Amino acid sequence: MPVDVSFVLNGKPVTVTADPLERLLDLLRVELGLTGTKEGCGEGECGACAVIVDGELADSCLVAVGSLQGSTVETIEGFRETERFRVLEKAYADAGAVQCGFCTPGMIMASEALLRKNPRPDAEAVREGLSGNLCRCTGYGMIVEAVLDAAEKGSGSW
Amino acid sequence: MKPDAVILAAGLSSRAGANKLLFPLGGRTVIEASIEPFLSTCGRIIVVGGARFEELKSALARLSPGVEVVLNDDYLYGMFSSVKAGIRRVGSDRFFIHPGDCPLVPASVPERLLSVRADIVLPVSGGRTGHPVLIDSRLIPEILATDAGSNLRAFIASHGFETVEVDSPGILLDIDTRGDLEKAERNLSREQGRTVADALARSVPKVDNPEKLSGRAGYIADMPFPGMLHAKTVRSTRPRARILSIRLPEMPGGYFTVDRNDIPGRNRVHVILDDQPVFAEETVNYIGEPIMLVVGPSKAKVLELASAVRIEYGDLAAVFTVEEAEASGAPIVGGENNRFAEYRYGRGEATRVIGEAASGVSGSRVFADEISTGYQEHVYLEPQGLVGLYDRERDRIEIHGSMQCPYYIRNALAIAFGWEPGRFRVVQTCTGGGFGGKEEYPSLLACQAAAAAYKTGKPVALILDRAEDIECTTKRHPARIGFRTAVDPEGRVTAMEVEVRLDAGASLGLSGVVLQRTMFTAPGVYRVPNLAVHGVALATNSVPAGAFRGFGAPQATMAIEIHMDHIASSLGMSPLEFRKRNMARKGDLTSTGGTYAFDVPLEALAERVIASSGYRAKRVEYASACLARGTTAACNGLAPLRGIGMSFFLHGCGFTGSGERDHIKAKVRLARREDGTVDILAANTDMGQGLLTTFRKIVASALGLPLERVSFEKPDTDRVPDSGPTVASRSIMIDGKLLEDAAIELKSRWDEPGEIVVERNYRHPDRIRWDDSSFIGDAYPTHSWGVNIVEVAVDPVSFEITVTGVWAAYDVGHAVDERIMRGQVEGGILQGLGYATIEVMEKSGGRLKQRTMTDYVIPTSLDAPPIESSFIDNPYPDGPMGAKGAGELPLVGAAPALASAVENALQARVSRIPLTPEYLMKAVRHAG
Ligand code: FES
Ligand code: FES
Repeated sequence: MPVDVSFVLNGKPVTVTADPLERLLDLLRVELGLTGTKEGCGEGECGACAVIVDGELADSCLVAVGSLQGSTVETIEGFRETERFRVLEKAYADAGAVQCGFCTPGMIMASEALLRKNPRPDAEAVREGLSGNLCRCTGYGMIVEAVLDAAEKGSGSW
Repeated sequence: MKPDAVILAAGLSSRAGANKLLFPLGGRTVIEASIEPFLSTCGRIIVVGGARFEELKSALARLSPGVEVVLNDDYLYGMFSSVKAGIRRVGSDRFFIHPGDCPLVPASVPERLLSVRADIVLPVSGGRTGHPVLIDSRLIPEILATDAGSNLRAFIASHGFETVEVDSPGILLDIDTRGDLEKAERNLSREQGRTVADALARSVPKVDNPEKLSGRAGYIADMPFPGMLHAKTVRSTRPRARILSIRLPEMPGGYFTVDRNDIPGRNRVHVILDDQPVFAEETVNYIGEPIMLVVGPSKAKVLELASAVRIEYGDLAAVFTVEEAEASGAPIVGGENNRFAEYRYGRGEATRVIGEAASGVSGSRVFADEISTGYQEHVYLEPQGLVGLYDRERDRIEIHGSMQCPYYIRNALAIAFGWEPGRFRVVQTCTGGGFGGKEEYPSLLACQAAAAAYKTGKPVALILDRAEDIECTTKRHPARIGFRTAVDPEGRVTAMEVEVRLDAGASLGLSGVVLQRTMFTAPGVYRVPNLAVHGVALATNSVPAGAFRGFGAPQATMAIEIHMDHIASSLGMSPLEFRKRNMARKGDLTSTGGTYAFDVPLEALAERVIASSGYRAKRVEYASACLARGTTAACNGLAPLRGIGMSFFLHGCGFTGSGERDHIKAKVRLARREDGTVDILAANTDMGQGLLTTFRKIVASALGLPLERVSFEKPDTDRVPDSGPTVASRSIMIDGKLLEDAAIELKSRWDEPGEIVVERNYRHPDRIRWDDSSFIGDAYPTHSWGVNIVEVAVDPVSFEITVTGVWAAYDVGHAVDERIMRGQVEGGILQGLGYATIEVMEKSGGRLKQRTMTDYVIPTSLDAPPIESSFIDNPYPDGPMGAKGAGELPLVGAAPALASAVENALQARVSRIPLTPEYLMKAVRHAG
C-alpha cells in the first residue's frame, strides 16, 4: 500500500507517495532522477549509494522510504551546491583521488559526514570514516590525503 | 672552522600518509635534498631522527660518512626536543638548524648567511623568513635551558635576529603533503633549467574530475532512453545438464522472452574461437550460464516473471576441478580431452640438466615446488551493463554501455547477427572500472541486449546486479604451477622445468592467450639457460575465467617468486643475494629467447626500496624474533609476528609477439578543426585509468598546445577508427605513440588552411622478431620492471595478516603523468594484496561459494597500508614521451612480496594464495 511520506530533500520539503518498503536509492534514482547516488551492490557493502540522513551517513540501498517521515536527506545533488563541496572537490582533484569515479559521490558524502563530526581528523580517523565506502581503483591513499587536505584548506567551513 | 648543521628529521609524517622525508624528489629523497646544500659548507651534519628511525638511517647510509644520524627518544614531545637533542652534539662555533623536509634551498643560502656576523641570522625571501637559521653556539646553554613547552621560533623572536635577503622561494617551502611535493618538484625542475611546460607536464588535473565529483558523469544505469525496457537473465542452476523443457509463466502484454532462437546469425560470442553460446542451446555447462532474457517495461514485473520460469534439467556427469578434467575417462566438457589449449616452449636441455643435477654428480641440486593461486573477482564498482537499441529506419543496432573494447563488441555483434559490421554502432559510456572484466564479457551481454532490442524494437537495458555479476562473469584463472629447478654450487639456476595448469571454466574464451602469458612469465626476471615450459588450460563446468589485470602474469609471478625464496632458504642464501645472482641483465635472453634490448634496472630499483624499507636488518630481526618464540608462537597474548619480503618482477608490455601486427592493426586519427582545436579519434576507453587525460596530454605536448585545445571523447565506433582494445597495458604505449606521431605530422602541416586529418597505422618495429608456432623470439616489444617490499604483522593466534608497509619502485619508461601513475600503482598494489589475502573465492560442485560482496570481500580503507612508491625515469624510445606499459605491472608484484613477508614472519613455507588463516595455521603446524 503506497503511503505519503514527507521529508526534506536537499533543503527542500518534499512529499512522495510510495511503497513504504521502497528503497531510498530507487526513489532517488528512478522516481526523482537524482542519479548521482550510485548502486554498486544493493546490499549495504559498498557505500556507492551513500547519502546523509539526519546528519548520519547512510547507505540508501538499505533505507526504506517509509522510515523517512520528517527526516532530512542530503544527496550529492544538494551537496554539490555548497562551498564545502568546492573545498572537497579541489582537494580530491589535487590529490588524484578520482579514477573511475563510481565510488566518488559516495566518498564525497562520506567525507562530508566525517568532517561535520570531526573537522580536523587525522589519517586514522579518515580511514575509519571512509571504511564503509569501497573503492577498487585508488587503493584509498590519495582519497585519505584529499580529505586531510580539505580539512586543512577548508578549516572553519565544517 | 666550518659550522655544523642540525637537520630535524624526527617528526611523524602522518599528514602526507607515508614517510615524506623519503619521498623521491629529483632523483633522490626529500631528506637527502634537504641536506645537500650543507654538504660543502658544513663540517658535521647531525640528523636528528625519531619516528621511523631505522628507515631514515638506512636511507641516509649512502651519504655517510659525514652525516651522523642520532636518535631523539623524546621526539613525540615535539620539534623543540629534537632541536635540543641535535645542538647538544654541536662542536663548532656557529651552527645551522634546518628541517629535513625543506628540500629546495640552494647551496648559496647557507653561504650568504655565514657572511653575516650576528647571534642569529635568518634568510628572507619575498618578505618572509625561511630556512635555515644560523645560530651562534654561545646561545646553546640558553636554548637548552628554555622550557620544553616553548619552541625555537619563540626563542629566536625573543632573542632578536638579523636577516639576509636571498630571493629563493625554496627557503619557504616544506613538504607536508603530496601537493607540496609536486610543487617542490615543479620548482626543482624550474631550477634545473627545464621549461615550465615540461615541468607542468608531470601531473595535470584529470579532465573528468568535475563530472565525476559532482555526480553528473553518465554511467549506463543513469541514462534514460525513451521507452526503455528492462531485461533480466534466466540462468542455469546446474553445472552440466540437458535442458529438457522450459515452462514460461503467463506473459502479460508488452513482456517478452529472448533466447537463442532470437539470434539472427550465429548463436556464438566471438572472442577467439566463437565457442561460447550467446544463449544456452541443448545443454548448459556451468551454473549461471544464460538461457534467456525476460524483457518488459516494469523492472519489478520482469524480475517476478524471470523467477517464475521453470526449467527441467537432465543432469549430466560434470567436471569440477583440473584434476578431474585431466583424469582418464573424464566426461569431455570442451576442447580436446578437456584441454582447451596446450603449449610448450623452451630451449637447451632442461630435462637432461635437471636429471644430472638430481643424481648429484655436479654438486648441483634440484628444487621442486607446486604453487597454486585462487580465483580473483574484479569487483569494478560499477556492475556490468549495456543498453541495446534498434533503429528501425536505418536498420541499425546501437549498443551503449560500460566496456573496455567497443570494436570487440562490434565484431561480436556482426557474427551473432550475420550483418555487416557497419550496421552496428557501439558507444562507450562512463565506465566504473574494468580491470579486464569488461574486456570480453560485454560482447556476450551486447549480443543479448541487441537481440532483445531487435525483437522488441525498443531500447533494452541489460544491467547486472552485483550478485549476478560476481557469480556469472569472468574472473582470474585459478592456477597450479609446478617447478623443478636445478641450481649449481655457486647458486646459479642452470635449468628449470615448469608445468602450468589453468582452470579455464566452461569455454575457451581468452584462456589460450592468458595461458601464454602465464607461461612466458613463469621464469620471472631470471636467467635460465635450459628451460622447458609446458602449459594447459583445462575445461571444467565452472564459470568461464577470463581477462583480469595482469592476464596470467600474477599467477606466474607469485609462483616463481616464492619458488625463488624457497630455493634461497634451502641453500642458506638470502633471497636478495640469490635473486641478484640470477636476475637477467640487458642483452640477456628473455624466457622465449628474445633479447632484453633495453636496460634491466632491477638493481637500481631494489636499492631504492631496500634502503627506504630497512629490508636487510628487518628480515634478519623478524626471522630470529619468530624463531626465538619457538613452539610457543601460538600462545595467547603474544604480540604479532612481523615479517618483510620482496619480489622482483616484470611485465611484458602490450600484446604477445606479432599480435599488434597481425591481428590488431591499430589505427588512430587526429583532426585539426577550423577553430584550431584538435580532436583525438581513437577507440581506447577510459575506465578510470585516466586515458581521457593522458591521451590529450600526449597530443598537447607534441603539438605544444594547452590541454584545453585538445579534445578526446569517449569512443563511438561511428566516429573513431579501430585502434584496438584497451587491454594488455597497450593503449599508451601503442596508440599513444601513434597519436604522438600523428601530432608531430600535424604540427608540421599546421599552416595548411581548413580542417586537417592525420591518420596513423601501426607499424611493427623491425627489431621485434617472433615465431608464433614455436614461441621463440621477442614475446613483447619491451618490459616494464618493478621491485616490491611488503611488511606484515601476523597475529599468532588468529593468523590474520595486517600489511604494515609497502615500498615499491618501478620502471615504466617515462610516466606520462605522475599523479595518474601513482593512482595506478596504489590501486594495483592493493588489488594484489587482496588477491594474496582476503579475496577468497572457492567452488564446490561447480558452484561458487562466495556470491555476494558480503562473502567476497575486497580491501577497505582500513586494510590499505601506507605505500611508498617511486619511479626511475627510463624513457622508452618506441613509446610516447618515453612511456611503456604501466597499468598491470603494479598488481603483479604485490602478492609474492606479501607471501614472502608472511614466510619471514612465521618461518614457515607457503605454497598457495590466498593466505587464509586456516591455511597459515596448517603451514605453521607443518613447519613446526
Ligand atoms: S549499493 Fe548501497 S551499499 Fe552498495
Ligand atoms: S575510483 Fe573507481 S571505485 Fe573508486
